[in-house]
Order: sequence, then structure tokens, then C-alpha cells
Amino acid sequence: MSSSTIRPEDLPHKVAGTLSSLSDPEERARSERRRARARDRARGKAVWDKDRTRELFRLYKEEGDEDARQQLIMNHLNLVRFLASKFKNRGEPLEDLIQVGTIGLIKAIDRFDPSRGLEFTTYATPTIMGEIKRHFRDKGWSVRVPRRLQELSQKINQANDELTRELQRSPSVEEIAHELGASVDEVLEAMESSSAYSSVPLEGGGQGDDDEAPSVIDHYASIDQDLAASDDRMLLEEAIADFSPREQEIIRMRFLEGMTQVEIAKRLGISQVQVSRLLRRTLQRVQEKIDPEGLINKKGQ
Amino acid sequence: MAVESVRLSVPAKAEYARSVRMLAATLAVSDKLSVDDVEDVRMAAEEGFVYACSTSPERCDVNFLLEDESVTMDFSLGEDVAPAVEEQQSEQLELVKLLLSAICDEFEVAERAGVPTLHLLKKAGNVE
Repeated sequence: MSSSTIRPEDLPHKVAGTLSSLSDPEERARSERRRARARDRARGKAVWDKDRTRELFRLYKEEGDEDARQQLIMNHLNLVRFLASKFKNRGEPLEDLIQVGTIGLIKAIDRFDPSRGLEFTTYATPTIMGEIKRHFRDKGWSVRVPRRLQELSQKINQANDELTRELQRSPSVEEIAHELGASVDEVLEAMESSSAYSSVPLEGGGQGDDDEAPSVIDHYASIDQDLAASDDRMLLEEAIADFSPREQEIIRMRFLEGMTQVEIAKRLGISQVQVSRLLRRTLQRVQEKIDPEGLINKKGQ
Repeated sequence: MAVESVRLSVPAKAEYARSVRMLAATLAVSDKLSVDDVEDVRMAAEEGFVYACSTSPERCDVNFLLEDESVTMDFSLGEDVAPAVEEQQSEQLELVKLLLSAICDEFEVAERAGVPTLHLLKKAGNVE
């Protein structure tokens, strides 16, 4: 094509836009040609120069060229960065993940057998991801997840109370996430996990005080006769040993003396709602101490 | 478990990535996949949605199929199945494809029931 030929797609957007006032089929055809050319360009200019990669592997594997190995590492660091970025916001600095991923890349380069005909990037991606996942596993990440979410769940409750007071309205999830320095996903996930944590409302089956549906709290209270004479009681005492005197008092009144929330509220001179909140938080802490991995809950599922 | 099907239809906009991701994760949990697999499903759902959006559909329909120890996600694609994108975007898409190939047991772009579709299947157990 002559260099003096002007095509609509070569023109600035505004000019090209005026040309689009041409009849639709013409514009559609042009648009299709434009897309096809862009596709060709994208194909021609691959992310990684595959021929160059093959040549570098030949130099490294057949001639032991260390410079070629270095070049291979450098050429694929963007792949490492991309994969590492998929694991950010999980409590590990991105730079650490990139380092771990780079180790995976080096392993992949050293183990890759070009004669098998596989593209290197196809081979390297699972190796790099495997290395990053192994890093989390070695740090006990999988085990830590439920506890991390439980802790976050507690913080969400606190932040919710604080923000409600401060804003005089129910805060948004974004506001809570911002307050806690967490992502919206993490907050939603923690909220989800905490609702799965006790699928029956702790406070009762319904919203009203008169609701007679048994609550989890009532269930705990109803089995207290057995609890009193068992090791569980010792466990409970041990679990609440470092709670504040007020928290310990409420737990004892509710579960050892069998008092209702209203009776506790009267004795302490606070509202029933406050008692309810205190009990809920205290119980959650007890449960986290006794059953940090949520195994009891899992068994029940 | 019996084969269960769940459908989600969302505008092909970035702000709906979270909805797709979280539904995928929740479904994977109900399919009894492990924590690591759920993370893979979550990641595949997000990347799949990103890929689908790059093909310029107005909406993206996601069909989830829950079977014993596997989750299938089919994303409806737009007309630009081989998107005409800038070089930088092209690199991103290449990376997304690599990632999807690595974390999914099946990864395919093909026409299904007359609709260009990104098909992803994740089975229980890590693909490594």
C-alpha cells in the first residue's frame, strides 16, 4: 500500500468519527477490517518472543550459557508479577510473593525440556503458582484463614458499633472496610463466614423479645446442668479467666445461675440489648478459645 | 450430589466482577471443594469475567454447573471473541489465558448452543 494512502483507521478518532456517519454497512465493514488488522498486529507481536525464547533455551540447555538463563528469567518476570498480584491482599507483601514466584520461575527454567514441544509459559505458570501457594501453605495460611476471618468478623462488629455511633446510621460495607484497612471482599467474606459460624441466630429465632424460638444461647443454657459436673465447666472457667470482671460475671449469671437476659440487665442496671450484645461477643470469644478452628461447627454440618 | 445448575446474568462491567467472584466461591463451598480449590474457583471466575468483558458483550451470562467435586463455569462472550485490543491489553489477555489454563482442568473458547462461550472446569484437587 502506498504511504500516501489515507485510511479512516489511521485518522484521529474525531475525524474517523465523522466518517462513521457513512452508511452502517460500510462502517461495519471498515470496523471489521480494523479489528482484523489489530488482531493480526496482536498475533504478530506476541507477549513473549517465542523464537527468541526457544533460542535462549537452546543456548542454556545445550551450551550451558548462563547469560541465556538470566535473560530467560528477566524476560518472564512480567508473568511472575502478574501471578503474584493475584495473591495480594492475603497478608503477604507483594514483593515477597514476587520473590517466591521468581524462585518458581527459575525452577521452571531449569526443569523445562524444550524437546517436548510445550510452550515455556504454559509449563511455567503452574510451577510459579505452585511455588506461591506452597509459600502460603508453609506459613500455615490454609489453617489460618478461618481464624483470620473470625478475628476480622469480631473487628467488623466493633467497627459497626463505632461507626453507627459516629455516623448515626448503619455504615456501608465500604466504610467498614476502610475503617479496618481491609478490602470489601474480605469484609463480605468474614460476614459470610461468621453467619455460617452460627447459622442459627445467637439471640433467638426472631427479632422480638417475645419470640419463643429457642436460641443458641438458650441451648447452651439448657445443657448447663450437665455442664456443671463436667470437664467442660473447667474449660469454660479457664477460657474466661482473662476476660474482664464484667464479662465473667455475665457469663456466670447466664450459664451457671441460669438467669435470663432481662434479669441480668436488671441486676447490672443496663439494658437487655446491652446484655445481649455482651453475651454474644463474650460467647464468640469463648468459642474461639475452646474451638479455634471451628471444628465443632464443622461436625454439625 | 445431583448436578445442579445456577445462572447469573450481569452487565459486562468491572463492578460486577465481585458478584461473579463471590457467587462462584459460595457455590464452590456448597460443592464441598477444599479451601485451595475454592480460591482457584474464585480466581478463575474473576479472570473468566475479565476475559468475557474484553470481548465487548453488553451482558455476561454465567452458567455454573455443580457436579460431584467439580464446578463448571460457562461465560457468554461478545462478538470480539478474538478482541481487537491494544498491545498492553493483549499482554494482559495472554496472561489471563495462561492463568486460566493453569488453574482450570478445562479451558476452552468455543461456540456452545450458538453462543461464543468461555468454558472453564475446575475439579477438586489442585492442578499443579
